[in-house]
Amino acid sequence: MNHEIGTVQPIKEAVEIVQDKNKETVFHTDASDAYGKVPFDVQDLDVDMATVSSYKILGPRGMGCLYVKEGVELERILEGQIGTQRLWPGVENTPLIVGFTKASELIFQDFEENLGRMKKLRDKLVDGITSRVADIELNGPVGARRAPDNANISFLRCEGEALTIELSLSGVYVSSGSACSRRLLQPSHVLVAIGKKFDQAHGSILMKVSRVHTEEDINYALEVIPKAVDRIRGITGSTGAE
Amino acid sequence: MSRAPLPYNPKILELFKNPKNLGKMEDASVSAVAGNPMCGDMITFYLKISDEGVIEKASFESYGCAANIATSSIVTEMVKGMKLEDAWKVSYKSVAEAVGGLPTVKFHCGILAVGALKRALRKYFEKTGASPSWLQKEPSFEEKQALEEEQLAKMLEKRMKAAEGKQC
Repeated sequence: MNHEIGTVQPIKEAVEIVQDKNKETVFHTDASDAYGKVPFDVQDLDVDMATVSSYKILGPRGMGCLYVKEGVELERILEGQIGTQRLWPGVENTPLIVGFTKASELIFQDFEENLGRMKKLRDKLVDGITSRVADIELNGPVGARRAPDNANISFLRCEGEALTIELSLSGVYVSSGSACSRRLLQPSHVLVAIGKKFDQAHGSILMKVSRVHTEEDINYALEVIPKAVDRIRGITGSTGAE
Repeated sequence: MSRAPLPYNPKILELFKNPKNLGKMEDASVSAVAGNPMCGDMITFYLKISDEGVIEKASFESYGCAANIATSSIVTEMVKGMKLEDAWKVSYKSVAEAVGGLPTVKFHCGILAVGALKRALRKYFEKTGASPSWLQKEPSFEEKQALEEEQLAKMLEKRMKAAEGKQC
């Protein structure tokens, strides 16, 4: 699943294509964004490896999990004193493992119900922005091919980094694919790859809903976002309008 | 995608929240642009200059980040009431200092703001035909940097279009 625009990729089909060409190819999928949001089964997908991440499901940062299919051998990338596990030197970070385990338990409690609620809140957010703010574009797919928590919108004539700062001052925390919000000073490669122009990428905002968000939070965001966009567009003024 | 807002100091945040001298100036003597929408950073700078060569008013519009807005705002405040010769001496360093320091990746925003100012001053002399001895013929550091940023964005745009062509 794409982290920025929420596209659910057809991994099973991709595995089949790769296997068809070369059975020896080891297939790894980064399932960090799918974990806890899109039901999947690594055995059914037939991937050799899959990564999931703790912080993506509101667990502690710095912890993840790598699924490795039986029979796939991995080489260490770091050498040193090798402990109970074989992949890297040192000891396990038990508190993070416990935190991740708990987060996993929680994300899969009432799983289907939470997914439905997240999708409903996300749709309310996107529909609300669409009806309140002019000159916007939804980035990424709609319907079943999109993650239930993901909303990625380009606000034209509105620089994304300035908008993230403006929103954060009102307690709404989002991220942007603008070059200015990235340390590399280049716009989001994902948005550029799907054919968006640089200025569309610069004005893009990624919003995610989680199982802890409520309808009240979405209402608040819908109250704050149009005002913030208006203010930043006011600063843009006639600049760039040729 | 960056999730953590950059570590802006309170002065920059204040200027971002309440920028001074914002907006198009209808009676400007001169205006100049630095950056372009492709860069994600673009400033239009307006100056009203008296017959005596003093900046009576300065204003700006910005399609840019918080640092861009804050530095543009402070440049307009710095140059208001200045003689053109003194305004020319404003450097990106003095602007960065005036906003209480900029995150390293945001230095170019201050440079772009001063680049727009210097372009406006140069344009003013081109318009009036005057050529004061203090006005350097060579582009200033900030003008050069602004041009470089614009050229880089154009190059990336070309590369993108070429890649799109291949996909078709």
